[in-house]
Amino acid sequence: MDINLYSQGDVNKWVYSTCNICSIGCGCYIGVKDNKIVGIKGNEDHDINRGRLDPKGENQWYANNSPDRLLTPLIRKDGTLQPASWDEAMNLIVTRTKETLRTIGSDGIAFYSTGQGTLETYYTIAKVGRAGLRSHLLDANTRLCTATTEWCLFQSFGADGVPASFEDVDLTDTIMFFGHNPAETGTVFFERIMERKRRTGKPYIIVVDVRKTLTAKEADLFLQLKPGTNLALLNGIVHLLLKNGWIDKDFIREHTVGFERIQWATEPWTPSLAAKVTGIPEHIMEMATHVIGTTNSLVCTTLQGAYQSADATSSCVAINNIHLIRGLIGKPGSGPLHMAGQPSSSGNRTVGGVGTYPGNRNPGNPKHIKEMAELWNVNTSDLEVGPEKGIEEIVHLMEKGKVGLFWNINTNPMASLPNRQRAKKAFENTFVVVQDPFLTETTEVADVVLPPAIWGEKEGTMENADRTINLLTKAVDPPNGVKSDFDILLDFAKRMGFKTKDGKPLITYETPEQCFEEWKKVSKGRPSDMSAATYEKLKENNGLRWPIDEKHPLGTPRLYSDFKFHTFPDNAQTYGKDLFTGRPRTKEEFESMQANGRAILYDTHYVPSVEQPRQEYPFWLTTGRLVWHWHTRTKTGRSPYLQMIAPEGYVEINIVDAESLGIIPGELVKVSSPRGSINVPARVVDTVQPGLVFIPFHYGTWENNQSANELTVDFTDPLSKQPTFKQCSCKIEPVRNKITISEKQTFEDIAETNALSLEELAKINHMIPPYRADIGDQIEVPLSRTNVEIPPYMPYRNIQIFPHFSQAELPFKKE
Amino acid sequence: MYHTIARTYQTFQYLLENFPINNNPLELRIKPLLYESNHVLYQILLILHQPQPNLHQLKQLFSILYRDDEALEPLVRAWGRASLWMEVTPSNIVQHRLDLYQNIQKYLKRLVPYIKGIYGEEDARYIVPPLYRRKVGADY
Ligand code: SF4
Repeated sequence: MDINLYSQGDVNKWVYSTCNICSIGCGCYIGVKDNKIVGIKGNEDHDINRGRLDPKGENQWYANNSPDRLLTPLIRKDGTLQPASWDEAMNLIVTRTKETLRTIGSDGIAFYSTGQGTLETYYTIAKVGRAGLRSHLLDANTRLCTATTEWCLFQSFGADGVPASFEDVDLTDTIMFFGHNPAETGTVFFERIMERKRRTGKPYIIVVDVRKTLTAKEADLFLQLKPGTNLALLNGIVHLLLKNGWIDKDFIREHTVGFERIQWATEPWTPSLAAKVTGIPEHIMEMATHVIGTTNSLVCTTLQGAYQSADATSSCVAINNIHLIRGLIGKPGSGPLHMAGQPSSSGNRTVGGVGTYPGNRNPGNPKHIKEMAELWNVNTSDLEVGPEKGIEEIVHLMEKGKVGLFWNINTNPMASLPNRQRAKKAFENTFVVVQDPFLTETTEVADVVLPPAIWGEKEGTMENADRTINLLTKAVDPPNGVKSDFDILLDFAKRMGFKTKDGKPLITYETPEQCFEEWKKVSKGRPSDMSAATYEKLKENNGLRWPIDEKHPLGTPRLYSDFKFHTFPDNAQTYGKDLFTGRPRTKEEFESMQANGRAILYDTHYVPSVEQPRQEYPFWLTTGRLVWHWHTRTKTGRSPYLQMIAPEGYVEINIVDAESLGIIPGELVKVSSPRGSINVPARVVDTVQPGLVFIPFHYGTWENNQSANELTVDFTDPLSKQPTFKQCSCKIEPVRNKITISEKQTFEDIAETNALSLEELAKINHMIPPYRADIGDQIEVPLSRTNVEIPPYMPYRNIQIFPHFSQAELPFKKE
Repeated sequence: MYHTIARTYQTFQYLLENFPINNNPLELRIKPLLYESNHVLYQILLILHQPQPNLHQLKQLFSILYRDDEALEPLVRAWGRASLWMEVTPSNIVQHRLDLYQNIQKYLKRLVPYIKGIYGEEDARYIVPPLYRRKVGADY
């Protein structure tokens, strides 16, 4: 239970809800006193978290009561954002929309939404965007987060939907966390696994990561690979599986196509080649393959270390390949569990607010377009055809002046997009609407700002990482002047006068629940069927996993238990893309694969990272998250507790590199890449490997110059179009003052005045004892030095305390 | 139409003759797309020479041509950025390739009315991706 409650006395009521931070989907109750949210507690009956919440979950409600919430729309006038009425703001948006439709066309309007919203909001975006505006440019920050999940599932199984669920995690003998650090990003999920591990010794844990994460510390086997080499490792593993005959030939024959492709593609990936490319010793790779090849059950999870890396979709497909050739899918305790980042990013894909048409419908299949047209009662020709565009492509269109209106809903792209200076110019070139409860880096480039309700102030459903649909109920009214995203979209649809082909209003539902009832009809018969779900039932059962239909009235813990995949051409959610080039396949090409209900195995080809360290930029840069903050801290930064613990950005650098650059813990350094530079304190650690630095991406206003995305590259995966945040090059230079030794100032004085030990000052200046400096010598001192210690997070409260991110001791050693 | 396709084909020929440029890993992905586009254009030209062109086959080829370009477009732009950031190729050469590539896009847009003429508006939607056939004026 959130400790804050003790200071608030008794609450008036506890309101049923779901955590709105990450994709685990923990059940919770919101504490309300005098129509104000005063705390939160975990739902003990909820299967996913069994009463637990992590620090982000426990602190999310502070944002609701934050005094800087926006309470009125804002319109940019004479260069500044000024308060306006809802009428003024909405009419301006409508005028601008109509003008764009007239001058640029439907694809001149782009929606960029979120993974933090409700299914009902996403579905309404789909309907407004696709049937109302007839636009093709619907994207979301899920592009940065889980677009690769979607594409690897399309490719292998024909449709979205993670095959395994958290239930399988409870049953499995072996789990592989591939580029996934749940100890910090899905903490409650990790606690659940570790609790079982402590009780039963299971599962055997394999971790693959470039950093020694908190998850890696718990691994039975840790594979620390070089940046950008995920696929080389997986090809090496598959090579060994085949060589040792650790495959299920019957399963392959009966339920898959394309096995021969895997054989020839992985043939050259001998352990020695894979070891050379990945840096993982052969015997470690062999041990991992032995476990994967002989275990009776296996769950592989993936997250940003896979999705935001080179070969993203190919790597996740390679993981699907492993499950398929071992026949470990659709069985208790087995299956790929490609995770999501945000609490409802999967939901956005499911209902068509991003990606394909609602209900896993293929935008390249005339039959599916016709079905959608009938369901929405619009002309077939009104619904655009073809795969979606990702945000990088939309940014390009904005640069070219081809987007007349960009509608940004509950996301902060000016902090979260890679190479953000490029994105900023594109946003400045476009009419931008931002829907956000607070002023953010993105409202700085907005023309209109609309203040929406937050979690706890609205109702709806969310889909977590394992297909569970959870209910959120409304605990309090939103502040005066604030509307829910759902109501804002309904208002827009009304003002635009969107009609069906019979001239009736396109949108007739008025509440989220009515919307959910309409969505159920749209989903019927499709993979994500929710026709047997109701709000009441979702609450009663603390969430249900789709499909929730007549056959599975209480949902479906795992997909493909009948080994029938969605690969019949008229069932598939897309015809897929070429795995190497990203070229969309035609229907005929898909048909010629003759999968017809069988899963598809692919040859996977390693391509090195596009940008690599070199003389001028000798380090790899990788970015990521902390346990204490969520994304760009719009919410978590408003919790005094979380903000106090982790108030600012930093760069983690290995002890060896710090030593050779003479960098001491906490000193300010400049990190530069070909795109820009930032100034952050250095944290000297052994969790990153030499040659690699890590920067959390949570930080960075326009003023404080700590944003990791000043540095990152905006290259994307050819299939999922997810940016490769995890690999680019950079250099590091200490930011220092120079002091000239004078008659009155000794070396010792300088050390003391700058709060440095003699050893530290000597290290900075590459000196060895005796530390002699003569009058006139120039001595460097850090421009500033910060305490970059972060208190340990205790995942096993009451059980064990791990120090985390402790500063490495750097004793000066004479060679 | 023939003229535009021939010009596109020539441009691909030129790009392929001068490929690879800097061996950036992106070129590994770009290469098969250039080859496939080149091959498809050649096939289209052959078909157009026939007195009774096989429209079904032509449709497949156009579909592939546009899909190749959809995949190429972000890769080529990324290659341009990568080449400048890695400082491995003089900027005038990078710009020249990007310009040539933009010409291809222009040709492909120019072909759209012909494709619509052959297959009709509705079928053409499944051959040509949306951004090549942008249409203004949803009627509100
Ligand atoms: S694990 Fe995720 S869903 Fe659960 S409490 Fe933490 S942030 Fe919320």
